Amino acid sequence: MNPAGVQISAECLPEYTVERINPDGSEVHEKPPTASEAFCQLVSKIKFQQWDEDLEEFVSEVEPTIGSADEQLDDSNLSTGGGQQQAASLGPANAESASYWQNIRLSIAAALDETTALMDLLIALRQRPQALTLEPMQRDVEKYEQRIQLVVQGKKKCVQAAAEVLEKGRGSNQMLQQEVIGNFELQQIAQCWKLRRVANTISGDLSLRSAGSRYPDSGGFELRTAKDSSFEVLLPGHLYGQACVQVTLRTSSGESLFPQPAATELPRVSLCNSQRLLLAQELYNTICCECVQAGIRAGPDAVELPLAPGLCANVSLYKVVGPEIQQQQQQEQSAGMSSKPLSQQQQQQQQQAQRLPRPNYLSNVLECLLLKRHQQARPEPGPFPSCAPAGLSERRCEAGPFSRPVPEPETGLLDRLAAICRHSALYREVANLLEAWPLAEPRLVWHWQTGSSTSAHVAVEFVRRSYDLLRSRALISIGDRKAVLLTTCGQRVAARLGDVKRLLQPCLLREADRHLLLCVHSASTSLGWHLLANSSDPAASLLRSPDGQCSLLVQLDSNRKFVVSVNRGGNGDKWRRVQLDRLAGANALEKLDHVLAALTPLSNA
Amino acid sequence: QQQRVPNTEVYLQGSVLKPFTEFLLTRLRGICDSPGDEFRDQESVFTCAVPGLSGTRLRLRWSLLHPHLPAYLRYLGIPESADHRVMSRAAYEVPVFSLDAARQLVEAMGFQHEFDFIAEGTVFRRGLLKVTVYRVYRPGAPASLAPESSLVEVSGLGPSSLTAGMVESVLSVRDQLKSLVLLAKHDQKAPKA
Repeated sequence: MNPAGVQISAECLPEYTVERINPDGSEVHEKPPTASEAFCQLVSKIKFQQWDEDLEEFVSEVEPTIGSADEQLDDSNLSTGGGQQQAASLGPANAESASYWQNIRLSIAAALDETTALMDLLIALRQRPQALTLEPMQRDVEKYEQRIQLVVQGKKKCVQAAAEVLEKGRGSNQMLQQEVIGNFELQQIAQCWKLRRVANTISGDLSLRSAGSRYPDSGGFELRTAKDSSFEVLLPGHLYGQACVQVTLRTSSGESLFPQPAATELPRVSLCNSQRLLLAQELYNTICCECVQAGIRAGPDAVELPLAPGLCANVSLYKVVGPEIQQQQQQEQSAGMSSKPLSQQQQQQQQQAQRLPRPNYLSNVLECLLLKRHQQARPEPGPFPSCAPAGLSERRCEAGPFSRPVPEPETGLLDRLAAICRHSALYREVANLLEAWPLAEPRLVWHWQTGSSTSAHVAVEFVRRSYDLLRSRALISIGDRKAVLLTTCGQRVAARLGDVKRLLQPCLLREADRHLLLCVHSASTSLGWHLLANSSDPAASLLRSPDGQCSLLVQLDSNRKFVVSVNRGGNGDKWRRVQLDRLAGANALEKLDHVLAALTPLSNA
Repeated sequence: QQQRVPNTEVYLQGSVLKPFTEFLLTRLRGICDSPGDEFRDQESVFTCAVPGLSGTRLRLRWSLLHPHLPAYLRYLGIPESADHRVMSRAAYEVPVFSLDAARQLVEAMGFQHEFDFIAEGTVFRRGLLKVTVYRVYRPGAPASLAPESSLVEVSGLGPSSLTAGMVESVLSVRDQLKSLVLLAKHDQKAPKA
């Protein structure tokens, strides 16, 4: 073996060679060579210079014949048609055998090559193991790093693509959420207000037409989409604010029958307040129209209605709209944002800002009257049952129990207001009369019963301070024109506005006197005394003792004090006055009880 | 004797799922004249037992919430499709003021009671049209026959001279409710058991 030092470097090729990297990060590998392909590659690198003697002999024996045949064949191949001629010159049998041997030679040469290479390898392993050393794999660092970087970049691209998809989804989700929020706000507004889509805008309706109002103002507003997908409301200028109608009652002396509440409210802008503004305008306009028809002068903001001599009602429209409200809102916002307390100037400005009075009872009644008028103008509910025709049925025009009831004649708003104001004034007068009861005995107890806005009743009772089941009653009925007092003895007294105290109080005082005398009768009767005579004006009673020996005269003087006189022995001329002041007792009636007890004979006690 | 001319009823029907019923009612409040009135009616259906007229039905309907109001005895004709867009049928309606007398009369005419049902819902009015959103119950049963949905019906009843106008009105309402409920013609044949 020729130790020519054939260096065979058995290099370990990388397991997979990356041909390319796809955008999604997957690697496309080159197919690794098969074992025979790899072996052929190795063998092609080997230079065979040393032959074995046996092999040389064999080859020398075989080679001339093969070589001559080869030469002949080659020469014949070189010359045109020479090979065939040579083969033909050799003869047809010899030509076939030459090609046959050529094939055999080639296959044997290939096998020889493989075997020689294997033998060399084995010799090298046996003789020189050091020659067959595994050289350290020279890693191509740069290539390896490049490959790693490629992989990392590929994965980065994949992740980036996924991140872009997620970002798009998040953005669309946010938009959808805002759209959902906007739709939710729209739904909430649609639940409270009538909305219509007109072209590209959404318009709403603040008017009370669906409730039966016939006011010409449309009361429309618009909804506009803001930048953050929410909805903002655009109100017309004349509805941007708040208003209310206030009704006050004043006497000729300037006294207000219903004192105004001290607190007033700052105007706020909202759809509800805009609707109330519209209602207040309609209410005031209606009253002004009726005033004009009645010949009463009406101003732009206030109307004075004469109700009765010495009494007038003032209907005023308080309205805060437009830039004044914006100014106030800006002031409030700036005051709210700053943590510092309001300065004196700012406080004055806030106080000077227009405020609306809180509605009183009469204002609320006026609004209710208008809404009731709307309700009367509203179409009838139904149809019931639901299969009935939607329009007017023929039955409604007929008479009978199911025909449409005859509508009551419409009374003007002004007339109703005047009636309610008069009733309220009468109510106040009667209440003042009862509250200013001058007598300590008997006491006055009253119970109110309100029927409607123009009628009320009060039941009055006279009671003693001490334990006594005896009560006298009277009834006062208050209408819109007069107050009527009715007593148990059938007396009836009517008083108009302004005459309540003058007419009803004396009657009540007489009733009180009668009740006191009734108490005396009750006490005397329980002791067996007899009532001889009774007088209501002047209030006096004549009593006789059970044995007839004593007479008692009980009178009430002009100061409502008891004057008691006694006559003993039945002598009508000799009356002696009883000094009630010297007697023990909490009040005159108790003292009278003592007198009666003292004068009653023991046999009858 | 004045001859009674039958009215023509023009109608479209549909259904709406329970979660969307409130949206539909809100929209109807906006487009209709009335704000919507609740109703609860009971209807008795009588079938003619006379041979040759076995398909004829009479319907007696009264309000359970307003018993003092008259009931209605109705005859509804076969649905026609003269206009391909809406359903129409002849309708006779007679108000009756005594339910017992009406039942006795109908039974004396040869009709037999077939079934009863209760309709409960809301009715809106838009001119001569009626829009009803209701559910159907069996008398005595607590649950509706279709608990997850409500029936929607847009109908107009009037003489034949007003039919064209009512058709346009019904179609207008249908278009306004299109996003919430699909109102269309439906086959009135009873499903096979």
